Amino acid sequence: MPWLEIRNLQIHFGRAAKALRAVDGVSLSLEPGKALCLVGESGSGKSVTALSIARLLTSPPAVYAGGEILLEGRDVLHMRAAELRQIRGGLVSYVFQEPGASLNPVFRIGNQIKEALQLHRPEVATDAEVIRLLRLVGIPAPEARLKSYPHELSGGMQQRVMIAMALAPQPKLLVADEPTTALDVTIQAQIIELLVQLRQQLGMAILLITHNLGIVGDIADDVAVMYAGQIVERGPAQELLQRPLHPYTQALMNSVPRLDSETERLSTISGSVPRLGAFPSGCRFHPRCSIARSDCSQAAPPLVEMEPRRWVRCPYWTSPA
Amino acid sequence: MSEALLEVKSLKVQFPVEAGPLTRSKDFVRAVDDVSFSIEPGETVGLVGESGCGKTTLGRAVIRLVEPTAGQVIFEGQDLARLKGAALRAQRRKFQMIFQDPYASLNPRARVENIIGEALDIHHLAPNSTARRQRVESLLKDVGLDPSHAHRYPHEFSGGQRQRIGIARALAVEPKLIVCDEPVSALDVSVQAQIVNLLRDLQQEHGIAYLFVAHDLAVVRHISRRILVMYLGRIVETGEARAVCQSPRHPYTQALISAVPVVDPNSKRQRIILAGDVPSPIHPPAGCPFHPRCPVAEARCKTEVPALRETAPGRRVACHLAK
Amino acid sequence: MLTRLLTRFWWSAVTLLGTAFLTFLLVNAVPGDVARVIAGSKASAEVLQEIHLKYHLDDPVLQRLGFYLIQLAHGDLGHSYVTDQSVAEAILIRFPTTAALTSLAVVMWVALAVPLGVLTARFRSSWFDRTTLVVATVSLSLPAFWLARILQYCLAYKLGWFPVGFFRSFVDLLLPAATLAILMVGYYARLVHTNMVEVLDSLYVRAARAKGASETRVLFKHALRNALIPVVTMLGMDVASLLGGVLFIENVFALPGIGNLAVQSVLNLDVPMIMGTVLFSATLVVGANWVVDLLYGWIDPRIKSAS
Repeated sequence: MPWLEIRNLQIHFGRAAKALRAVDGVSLSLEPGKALCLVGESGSGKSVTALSIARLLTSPPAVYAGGEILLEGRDVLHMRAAELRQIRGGLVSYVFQEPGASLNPVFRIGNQIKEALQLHRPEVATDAEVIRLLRLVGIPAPEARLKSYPHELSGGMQQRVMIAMALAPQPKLLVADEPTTALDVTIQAQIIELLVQLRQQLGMAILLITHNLGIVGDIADDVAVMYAGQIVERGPAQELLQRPLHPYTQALMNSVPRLDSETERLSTISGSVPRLGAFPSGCRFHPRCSIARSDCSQAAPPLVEMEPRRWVRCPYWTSPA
Repeated sequence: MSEALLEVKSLKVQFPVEAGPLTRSKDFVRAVDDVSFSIEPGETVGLVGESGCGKTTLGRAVIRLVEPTAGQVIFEGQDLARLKGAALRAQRRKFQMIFQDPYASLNPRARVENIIGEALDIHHLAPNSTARRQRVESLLKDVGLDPSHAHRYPHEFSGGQRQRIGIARALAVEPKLIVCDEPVSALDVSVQAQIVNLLRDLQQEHGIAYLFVAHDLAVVRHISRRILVMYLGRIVETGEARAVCQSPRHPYTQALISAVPVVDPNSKRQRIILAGDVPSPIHPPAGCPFHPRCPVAEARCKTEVPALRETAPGRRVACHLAK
Repeated sequence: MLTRLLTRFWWSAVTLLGTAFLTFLLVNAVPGDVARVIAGSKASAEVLQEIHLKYHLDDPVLQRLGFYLIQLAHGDLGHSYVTDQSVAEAILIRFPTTAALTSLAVVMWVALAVPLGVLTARFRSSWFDRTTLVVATVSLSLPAFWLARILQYCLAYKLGWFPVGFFRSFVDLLLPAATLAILMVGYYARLVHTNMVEVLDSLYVRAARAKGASETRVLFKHALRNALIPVVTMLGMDVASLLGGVLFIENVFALPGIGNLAVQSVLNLDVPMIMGTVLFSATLVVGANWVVDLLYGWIDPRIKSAS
């Protein structure tokens, strides 16, 4: 059995007939020490999926309407509050998109990291350990930084502090939810590089959530692409990036701006992501799909293993030219 | 070479570091330090750099949202830095701005038709309400939005659609120059591409010039004819967009380029990962401001400030070591 | 830091001087003759004339203001026209009562409002939240005078749990303080609630939960301190204005506080006493501003470094 297994996860917002199905039948698995990237646009359900692993969605309005999230064989969705607190931070740690807003503005960063230690490794809740962690994530002069407040640090440094805080309890999985989106490209490269190093050093698994396929290649073993609450393609990172099979993955890849391209126009995906609760019938991507056929609006295609380890939710998939 | 629409000469913007009301501040943030460039009509100039490099301040100083400390901003032959009152307001119509955060820059309590219509009202561009409505609808159509959504509020639109509303508002007064301040940084890559393409189309149709400010070179490259690379308030490299991206001469530009995310898993390019952050512009490093982070810095870089010199036709680099 | 302090000091002085100026002019614009109050309605013209001369009542207003300010600069608040008591002494004698009443009330309403605000924010839209909202709205729309009278009638007069209107010891302040607390608790419970709701939606609260912090820890350690930042400002202002005299409560319960002193001096047209109580209360407000500022720096580190 995999270390983390999500089976047919259903997450709704609101109840009964008016429920909006934000995540609709997502299944994923992750082995210890592996890195999985969950890719998709805003509103695809990728962050909702990530937050549900430690049951962090505010409920209500979120409703865990079905499926299982098995962590080391235990179902997170049926855990008691006390057990859940052990999981949060202890087994699964989070790094979020906006480090500035995710650090508590009124506490010194040293104390915020120490709190994570007190909660999960009280025997080492010391300044020395906090300094070690700050050094681990590449913060210069960590001794001097213990007493800093979050607003005194740059965005990149704040994100390093968030990572140090997430690593403090020695989790087995680090969930990074768009950790670089709010940062400059140079700092983005620093943070991704840091995550790659830390994974090698500490052997934890990483679940990276991003909308940019461009940062996937540097870190991922596997990739899952989400669209409108469903996974549309899943496979090993190298293969998927070299030969994306689903028309959505192909389109998403082409929209990443390239420095070396000679074409002036960027390729785009026409239209916009459907609103939650207004997903099209049949294949949810069909109104924006370049290869859609008439029956795509009728039958909802299943996610099928088209080639070994390559799962695609499209019966008409083609290899890219 | 045709007549420049905008010519910026030795522009400086300094902010005093906060001090008491009875004491004068001795320290200044040199946000923009001796910057010169020009934009021709209908041309796009890209301005790239990290947070805190002064690119946003420069963009704002160009259209007098920030008061320049010294230098000239010549727009159609008039020095904007010296214009006042009515004369400045008359010029304001000719340059507009699009902001990074489409959520924050639209009044949440105003309907889209009024957000766009207000610009028309201020400059008396719509003689009556019918003309106003028609103009708003055609603007919405121009930016790829459904004209029947004119009565909706900003929160009813997605991030990309809100940025389109911001663009429509800027277009309403038929400007000659739009300063785009990180217009796509907050958007998904797929939406970024749509907005960049839209800006290109509008430029071809209306002949608008853009100053396109961003931190991602790959985006800037796609829309700009020329690129300015900025570091700590100074231009460190400038040239044709393609040339700058294909053969960057300044070590900073090289680092920026290597930081751009790439999809191709086979590209085994050498990543130059810059250490640390941009230093404080209050006490910039002596010599070349980039030397503390520069992978190839030599002894003289610590003492001598490199001049922005021409290394090839149309190409200027501020680095002692650049050839 | 020093320049900042000096600037604050300078502005405080300007505020107080402005208050003195305005109050003096307004008091003198009120029709009526203090001499009649002092000497009684049957006093002869000569006696009135004598009083006018003694207190320089016929001098031009600005001249009298000048004299008053010079006197004030020497630290002298003057003497009451009516009782000849030193104004400073009169205020100092009555201040402990008002201060005790206010502090007791503050403790009561804060002790009630903070947990109420936090819990209603945590259990938003529950029956508990809704009920509290109704009760709070009622509490803040109650007329002070009426509530004081009702409580006095029911609890003190009918049930005899409290003295009706004497002031002998601290215990006698319980009912007046509770009345005041009831009037304030609704507003503060809502203020804490609103700020908590906002803070509970913040990303750092989500991050605290993601760390494995317990709900109690999230509420009272991570969220509350942030939510209290705006509450402290309100509290500082309210406490200051209450210390300057709790008019209705002091009046109904016949407490010898500053409020009663102020009311009496206005009825008497006792200019030195009016000026004294007004300036005292203005000084408290200015002082409270300083305290709030200092507290701010302690609660919210972002403010300290911004200065």
